[in-house]
Amino acid sequence: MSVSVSMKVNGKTATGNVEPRTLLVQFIREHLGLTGTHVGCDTSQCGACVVHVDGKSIKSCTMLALRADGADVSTIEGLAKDGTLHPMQEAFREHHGLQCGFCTPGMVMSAIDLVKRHNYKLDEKTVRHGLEGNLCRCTGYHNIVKAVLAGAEAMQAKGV
Amino acid sequence: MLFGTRQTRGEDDRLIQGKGRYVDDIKLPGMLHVALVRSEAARAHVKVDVEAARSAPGVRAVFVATDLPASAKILPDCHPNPVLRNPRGPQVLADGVVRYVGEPIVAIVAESRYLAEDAAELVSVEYNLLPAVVDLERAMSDESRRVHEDLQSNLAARIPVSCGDTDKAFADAACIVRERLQIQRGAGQAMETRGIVAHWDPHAERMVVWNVSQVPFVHRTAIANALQLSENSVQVLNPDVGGGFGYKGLTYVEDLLIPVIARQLEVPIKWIEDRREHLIAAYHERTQLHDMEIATTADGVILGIRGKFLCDAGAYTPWGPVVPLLTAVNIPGPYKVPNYKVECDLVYTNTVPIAPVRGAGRPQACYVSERLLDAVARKLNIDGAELRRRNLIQAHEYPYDVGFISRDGTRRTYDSGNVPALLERALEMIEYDKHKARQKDYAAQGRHIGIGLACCVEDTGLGPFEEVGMTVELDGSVTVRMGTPSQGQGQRTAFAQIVADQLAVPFDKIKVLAGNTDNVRYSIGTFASRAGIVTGSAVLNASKQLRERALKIAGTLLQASPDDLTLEDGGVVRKDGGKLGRAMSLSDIVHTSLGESGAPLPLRDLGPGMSTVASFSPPTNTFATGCHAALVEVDPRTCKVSILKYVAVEDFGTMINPMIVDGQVIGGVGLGIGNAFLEKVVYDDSGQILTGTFMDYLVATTMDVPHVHIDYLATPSPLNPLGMKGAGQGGTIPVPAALSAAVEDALRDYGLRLRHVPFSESDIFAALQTARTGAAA
Repeated sequence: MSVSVSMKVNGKTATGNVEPRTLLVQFIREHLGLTGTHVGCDTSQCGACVVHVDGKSIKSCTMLALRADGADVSTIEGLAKDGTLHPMQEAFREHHGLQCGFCTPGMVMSAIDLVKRHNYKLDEKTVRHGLEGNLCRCTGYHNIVKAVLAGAEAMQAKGV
Repeated sequence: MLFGTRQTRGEDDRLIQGKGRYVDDIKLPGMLHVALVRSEAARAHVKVDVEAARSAPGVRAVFVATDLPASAKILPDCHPNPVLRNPRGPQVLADGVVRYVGEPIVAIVAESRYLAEDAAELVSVEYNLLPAVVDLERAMSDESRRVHEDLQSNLAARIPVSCGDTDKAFADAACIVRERLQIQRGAGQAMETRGIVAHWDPHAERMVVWNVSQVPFVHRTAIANALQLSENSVQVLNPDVGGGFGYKGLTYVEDLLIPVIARQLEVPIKWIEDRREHLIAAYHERTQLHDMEIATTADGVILGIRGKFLCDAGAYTPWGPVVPLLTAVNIPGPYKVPNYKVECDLVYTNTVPIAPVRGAGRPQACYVSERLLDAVARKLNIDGAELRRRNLIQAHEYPYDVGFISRDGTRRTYDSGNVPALLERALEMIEYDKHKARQKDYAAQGRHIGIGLACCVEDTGLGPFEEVGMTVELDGSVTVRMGTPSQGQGQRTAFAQIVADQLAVPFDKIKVLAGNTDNVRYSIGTFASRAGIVTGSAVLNASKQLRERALKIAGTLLQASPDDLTLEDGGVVRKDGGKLGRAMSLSDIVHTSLGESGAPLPLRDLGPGMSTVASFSPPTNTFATGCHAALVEVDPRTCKVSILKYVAVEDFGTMINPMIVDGQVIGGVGLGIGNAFLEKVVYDDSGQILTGTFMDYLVATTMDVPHVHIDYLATPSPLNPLGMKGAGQGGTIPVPAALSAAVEDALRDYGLRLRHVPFSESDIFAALQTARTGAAA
């Protein structure tokens, strides 16, 4: 049995017929071909699959695609505008906030939501608390924290 | 010069935009999906009924052991070693008997992973349970329970390493300390699990495989053998890999199984491991139980170290005895140990096989030697830093002959180093004297603050060789082809820095291609901190060859001596600044030297184009060294440990890109902190694994890894033209030892002794209870 699902993904309408049990992350990856969102654990511990649904970060491995029906979804692929990186992406590159890159899309999406939830005012402790649900095995987090603090400032300065 | 400078990474632009290409991102037309039925028992005879699964919706095929060709039933030992007296390779699919929870038994091939998993639930496996072998000591003492029933015992290998005369050293000693030290099982657990896409291309008559390999050429040979093809009929690709950490540098049964299925069905096949499978079926490491003793003079000068240890092999030996062998040769570390004798028994148990995980036997070695030194310091009432000063190999004593044969069969000789300077720098950075002097004041304020130290060596940059191909393209860009894939180390950036300097080409005009076995003829792989050194040196050699060639061609064309010419800004200039007859860019050189189609080659003596293949073969491995210092505060009521400051001083020789090296150190410390406090694979007595999710197997989060204060002191290695020593594992190795010492020191008034890692708050609490009752008795 398959059912129709429709949502906005990165500003474009995306529709598909899915089995009701299809997870949002699989809809994004398999049906829409947006493979920037990764699956690291499928038990919502690692955060590699974080996307924004109606502006809030969620772990897309733990949400059914049907629950996002009608929602506004954004993924890592939707961040750069007209060939210009989002300030948070730029900050991750500048501060060497990634090594293998597998956790990075989820980390960046979580970070952007964190910045907005705190109205651009972040300190190291807030960043560390806020990203506790995003695991990284390469970096030891230090450069990620640095990148997020710098990214928050740049977002505010650029009004993003 | 870009060598030695911070350079943001060329890799990142794609990765931060979600444009990476990991194995799960590969999608081929008509691709089918595999789900594996894995053993739920640690040791059992099994009967399998797959009939219901065969007719389940969407199922296209079901494979059991008898469906596999003889060449793909058992995974061959990739690291044969004469000390491995009873090697046993993993079964590609279990054939009548299972030996660990998670061992694959049945492969279901279906139209989607969802349908494959539905069908997997219909497979009936009848387990005739046998008592499992889990406890290491019992595995050796109770020969009635054997992992492999055809063997007489559970002993896989006995590894002796020795030098000097330990009996005499211990007879002469003023101080002898014995310790029983245990390191628990951990796991690499990269954020990307394993995964394979295999596709038989009938047009090219080739098996094309995408996987997560650190050693694609090893995989290519293993797949070729399993399919009875030549290597030229197998291509292994790994464009982006989400973390390696050593255990992706081995062959797994799935690496043979998935291509075999793809070959038989002639359809692209994908298998992506889920996290639970990754925790219960990807190789683990670390479990070792050491009974060790150290003999010193009354001044604490080491006379000898001796002892025995058990290493848990798990159920099979896919990577031979590498891990315990590395521990055995690394225990003396950077210290002078004139008399040394250790014997290791590698023991089969009904658990996941072990393999090198970042550090690879060395964290265990460092833990043993540093814990012994801390015990001596306590017994002789000598300050820990002073005791280490008395025993470290001094700068003028390098090259230092350790006295026995190393892992690679050569006499173990530390080529260069200066660990005493690393120690002094670490003491300075952690403000050792200040905090030591204040410990009484802290105690008076009710604060329990301690410092721990640990020094280590790491054998890096192993042979035998790496090869790179390099071409200057018609537009003056440079293409580098190499065999060592990246799992996040930033090799594409680092190697482009080497090329940019030699050929005077801008960084962004250099493309480094890896992760494709068609790129070079042969390669060994990325592991043991070797790619930077070995591939990097091959890149240097190739760049120099092309530089020399460019100057020779230019000299011929300009009727100048190549010695008078040099490369600058992508073109040839005169060294003396004088004017050339005409401007000549690298692009011009390539154009001219390739000639015109149909016409004779202009420079026939020099041959066509600007392309070369170069290799590098180190005479033996080099040695990175390090000294870590930890300042911690412990609350004796809750046993919570706070790391107040963590210092890592490393000697990695010369560095290509310090930004990347910093990242390696901090990331390595992050894993080490997990190894010290959190990461523990747990099996119960029946061999059931209790840590099958990230809720149970804890890795360090943002809250666990503190700021790491890093410094470097370089003694360049004489064993490679770059002077490098490798930076992949140095961050991890000393961490459990340094943190154990710091926590003990913080609670020294309570008589706390820590003899195993990882240790949690409850472990500290239990150890405090032991100390208290011990003191009462």
